[in-house]
Amino acid sequence: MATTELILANRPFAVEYFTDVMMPDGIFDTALYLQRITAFMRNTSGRDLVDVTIWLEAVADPGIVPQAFTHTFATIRAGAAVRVSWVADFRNGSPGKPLVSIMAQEAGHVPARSLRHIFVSRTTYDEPTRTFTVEVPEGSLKVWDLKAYGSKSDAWKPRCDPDDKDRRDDGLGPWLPASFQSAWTPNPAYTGTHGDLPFEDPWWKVLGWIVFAVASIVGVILAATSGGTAYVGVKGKFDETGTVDPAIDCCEPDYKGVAKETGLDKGKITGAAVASVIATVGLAVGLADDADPWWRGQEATSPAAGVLTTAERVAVTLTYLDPPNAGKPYRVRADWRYERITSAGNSAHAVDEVRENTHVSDGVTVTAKSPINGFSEPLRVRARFLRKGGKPYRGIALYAFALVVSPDATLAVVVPLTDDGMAPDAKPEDGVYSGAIHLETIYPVLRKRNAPFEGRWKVLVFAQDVNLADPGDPPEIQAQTIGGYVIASPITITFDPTLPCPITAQATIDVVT
Amino acid sequence: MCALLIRDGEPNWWNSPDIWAVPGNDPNGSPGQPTVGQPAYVWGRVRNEGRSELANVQIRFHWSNPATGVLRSNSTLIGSSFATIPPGPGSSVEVLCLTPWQPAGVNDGHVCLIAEALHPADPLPQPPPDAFSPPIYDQVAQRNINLLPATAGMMRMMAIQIAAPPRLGRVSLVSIVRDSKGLDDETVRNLGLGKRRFVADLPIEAGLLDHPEFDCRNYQPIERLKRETPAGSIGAIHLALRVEKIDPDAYGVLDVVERDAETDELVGGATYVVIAAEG
Repeated sequence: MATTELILANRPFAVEYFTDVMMPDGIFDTALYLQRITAFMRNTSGRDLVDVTIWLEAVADPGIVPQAFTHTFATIRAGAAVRVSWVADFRNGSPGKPLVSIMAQEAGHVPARSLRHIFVSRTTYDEPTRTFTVEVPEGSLKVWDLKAYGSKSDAWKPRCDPDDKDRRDDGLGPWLPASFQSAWTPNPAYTGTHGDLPFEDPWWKVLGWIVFAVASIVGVILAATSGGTAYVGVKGKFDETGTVDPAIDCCEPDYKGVAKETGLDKGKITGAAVASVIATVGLAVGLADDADPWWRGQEATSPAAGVLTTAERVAVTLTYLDPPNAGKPYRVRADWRYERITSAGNSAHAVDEVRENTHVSDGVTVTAKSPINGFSEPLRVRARFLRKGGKPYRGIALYAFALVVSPDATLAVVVPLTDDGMAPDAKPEDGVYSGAIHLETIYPVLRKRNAPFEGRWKVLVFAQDVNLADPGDPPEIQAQTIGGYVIASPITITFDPTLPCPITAQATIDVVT
Repeated sequence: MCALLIRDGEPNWWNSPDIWAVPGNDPNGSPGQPTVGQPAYVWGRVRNEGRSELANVQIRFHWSNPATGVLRSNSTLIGSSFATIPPGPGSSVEVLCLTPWQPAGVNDGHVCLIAEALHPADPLPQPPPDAFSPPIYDQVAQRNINLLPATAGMMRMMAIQIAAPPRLGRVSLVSIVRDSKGLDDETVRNLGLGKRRFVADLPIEAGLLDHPEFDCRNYQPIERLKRETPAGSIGAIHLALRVEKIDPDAYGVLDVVERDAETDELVGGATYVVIAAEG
């Protein structure tokens, strides 16, 4: 029997369970207990594959506990890459690069096994010192004095239950990183100019991004789950910077209710988390993709032969010259100071420069047939995301989804968008990301609340880029490719409080019966 | 109908051809004998002899000290994996235990491996019995076959665990049985024996001891030993083995078999494949 020709096409990346956002560079962090191991499986056979099953065989770290699930596909078109995911509990995971094994089998064929490493960090928070620590195999990064610009609008505050004495008063964000102090302790101390990159891949700045992202998303999850600690491992937060200049504002998504079926307001949660990712990525932009402060500081302070580097400090202050909106070439001024601590003394290097976001796009076009009969046809969404210069993103380049919002804005549903040739997507790798939902499946929920089914539904489309670095490249080359940046979003961050509400649905669909 | 199957060995059920180890850092490497302190990966092969696909079968892999009867209470979980197995005779999936395992220093890394496949459609009793009992449960199998490199003229000593389940003491008769047929091709391959040939009359002097200390000058090998083990306790007997002469391309096989002294029921066994030590 021939072997199934369906292989893993990317490093599996982390999608947070409650918010559906991809974590910075797809790295899993044990502070967020439930995450989806998400991957693209590509048909390399040159023909359509028929009757295919895909399952997660195992994760090498026994502390990471996946839920068993088998995906089934009637057909996978030639050349297509389908998106699959599995929920896993990471709370007892260890920092490292455990292997994951994904199996794929076409009926009548031998199963194919794909092995690939995932990246797992561990973020913890020490309350007395208000210090976050991110651990990876190559060392640990302590981050303290986190300051962020917060929204000056009350719109993003969670609903409070006056009888709940333990409720959090913190807003849902978004939190725009303003400044922080950090210290990287390599494991072990090293000689020479450069230390080992975290996971032998991303820049150290990605760990800083993880801290801000985890702290932001934890706030969202805690608000969504009424402050329970069943789902998160840290409860640290930011100091809101006293100099609220510029003050940022962000319109609250116009959702009033809570999805009673799940206890979560999916729209608000996902929207808030995406806004957080958009905001926190400002840190990554300011600290540059081609070489981050740690690498550049190491280059500028090369020690003598045999001298051991025992720690590296970086202090960063960020100033946003433009609102940090997804896909836009906004500018961030980064004022950072690097200090190398060695067995022969310390040396420092400082930079004050303006960086521009290079994860830009020429926007997104969303089409959806309207009107539709909500009981007899699905609601279909098609989105086309354009790179700078107009070429479309295709296939596995993006992790994309839509939020479909009910007419009275009390319910939002996540619809995956994929360019894989699976219905409703017409053709794989053609640059059109499609998804569909049969609205009659949520009709009972709306009916229970006396909420309207007919009316104008809104479609909000989000996309983050996927890290497709070649694992065979040298680490410092792989490090220049970073995934998880939001390149399309209906949420606009503005520094101008006089502007109207900047959340704009990219499509609307009139549903009739 | 019972559907899940991990095959027992023939003629000795504890030599399952459906469990093997791959020493080293590459799980896709060649099968062989694990080395103490070095990582190894464990594989299992599971069949679905039913009529329906079985999705999300959980396969758990355990290791135990070499023992003639292996219990859950004295085994250690290595890791677990999932598999979806289509139906039909001959339909099987090779399952990798992705958690790397490092054999401990006891007994030069000789261990017993156990694999069990779990699925609601073909369940084990709940709670599961302490004894794995592969001959009773098709979805459980054991691999208790180890390579024993020997230098001509030198004595080797191996500890073999004898255990009694909680609340049930046991009187065991342990004996050495010399194999006259050799191993099947699949087992030869899984052990990494290469092109070695089986020699039935390999000049092996083997005996069982209650204690590892003995007087070499007055040693008389005993091939049969009676041992009483209190309920819930673990003891050990020792296999002392010396090969007069062995060619590099030859192997011999010895089984150490435990029977219940009162019922003559076969409790289990361990198989040793004697080969010439390198160097």
